[in-house]
Amino acid sequence: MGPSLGLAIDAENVCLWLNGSKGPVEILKKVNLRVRAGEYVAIVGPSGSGKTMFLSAVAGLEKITSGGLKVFGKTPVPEDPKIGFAMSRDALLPWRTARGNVELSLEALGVPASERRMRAEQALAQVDLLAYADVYRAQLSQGMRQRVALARTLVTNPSLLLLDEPFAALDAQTRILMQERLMKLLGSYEGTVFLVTHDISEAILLADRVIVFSHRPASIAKEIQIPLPRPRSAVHSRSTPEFQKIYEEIWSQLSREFTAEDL
Amino acid sequence: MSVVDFSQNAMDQFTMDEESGKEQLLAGTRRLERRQSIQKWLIRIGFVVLWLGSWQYVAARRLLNPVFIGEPSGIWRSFVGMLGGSIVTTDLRITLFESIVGFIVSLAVGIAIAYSFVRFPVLERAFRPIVTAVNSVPRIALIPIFIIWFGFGPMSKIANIVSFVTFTVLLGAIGAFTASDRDHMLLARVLGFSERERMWKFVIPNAVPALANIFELALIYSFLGAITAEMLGGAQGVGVRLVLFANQYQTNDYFAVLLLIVIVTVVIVQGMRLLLKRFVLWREVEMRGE
Repeated sequence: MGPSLGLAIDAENVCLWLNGSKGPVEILKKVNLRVRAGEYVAIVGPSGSGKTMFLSAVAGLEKITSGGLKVFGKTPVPEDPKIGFAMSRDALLPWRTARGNVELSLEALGVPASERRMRAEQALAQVDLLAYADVYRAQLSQGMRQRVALARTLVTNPSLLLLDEPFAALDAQTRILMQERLMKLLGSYEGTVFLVTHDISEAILLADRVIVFSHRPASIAKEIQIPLPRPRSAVHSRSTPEFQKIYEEIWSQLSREFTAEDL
Repeated sequence: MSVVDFSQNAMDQFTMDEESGKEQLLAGTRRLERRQSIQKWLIRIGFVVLWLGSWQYVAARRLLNPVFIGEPSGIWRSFVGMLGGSIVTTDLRITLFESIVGFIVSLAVGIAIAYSFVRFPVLERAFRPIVTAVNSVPRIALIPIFIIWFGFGPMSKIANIVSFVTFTVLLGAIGAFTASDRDHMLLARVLGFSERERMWKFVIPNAVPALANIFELALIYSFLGAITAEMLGGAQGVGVRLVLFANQYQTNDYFAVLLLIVIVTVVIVQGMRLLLKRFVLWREVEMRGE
């Protein structure tokens, strides 16, 4: 195995077992994946397949049982400022204003208060919520909360952006608008994006490459390149024949990974 | 104006424009709120008048012996007479001193133990059955022991308060500290906060509104603890006066002291609510939505 220079994520034979109520459960079985710096990669897979667990391992939140996993050449730890993790639920703290919530990420890095404030406001401006900087969670709509959460992730300028079903908690229309917004935001982003989703369209829209996870214990069932030109539009790209073709290709693989119990 | 008139004037009366529609909606809401407020006060005042009135009637007509049940007018006279007297300047002052010192000590000890239990869960697992056992001791039975140890003065009263209010605070605070949202705990890990930072940035702010309720309960229990201990053996304090008045069948004076205690407690509890308002405001915003 050569040096992992230029690699954001380098996973080699990653296995992960968890302690279940009936003894150890195998979650990941020999996952091999390399994500180049600057690449956008999405994982899709059946529910409960372990895709979020793999993402957690990449974020340094779960320990792998065997195999090798490096992020920018090092074993990942959650406090690494190069890694930004966006959770599927916003997890905003209700006792903090929108600005206070965004500042939280910077507090973890020990950024001084005056700089925190400035950078938090920049991040809120990026998601068009500067006017809501002093507002509490209860006064924000679901979509706005998710945008504040996104600002909280982006404010540290992570080189690797991990997105765990970022819009799963949103209604269908808001989700499309958020995808559109995220793609616009990523237009000026130079890092790597690694996304886990159950929404095939979302994966195609955002990624250069889509990985299909198998049924649990998960390994990589298929890899599909997405040659669609950028910039893509969350609304218009969906209706193109290329998009439809890729969608069907992913779905035909994914549907094979569902077992009878899943339905 | 003829019957068939399509002039602008007639249209205005038929359809309603947006502004006056909104105004009517607002006026309707205001009317409803006013009516509900009037109803609330009528019921409240009516209840108190009926209660005191029938009490006064029963006592004045000697349907029940006023020596036993007292008499509202007599209680009021006694209460007014007490103000500025030694009951307020000496006894109430001492009871307040005992209650507040006991309250503060219980708060400090209870929260410190709860914090260490939550920070180091092995401590909680180790001590939980011991806490339950100690908390099961009927504390009122300890008062004679406290008097032997600390004498008839304020110290034995404070000891009694601390012996049970600490547990109220401890158990409540453990609940408040462990009521954190799972997503918040995950976020704390994702952002790489240390265990200590997690407590101060996530767990404690989340616990404050629940803690405020516990403080209120603890404060009321502290008064209870002071007065109980004074009644069982003390030199000064409102509890001592209560026993004295009861022994001498001074029912009106007895109820007047109770009235005094209620008023003082309510004032102090309200004061504390005001002090804590700033920290629990977010909770109200959250509950209200919008």
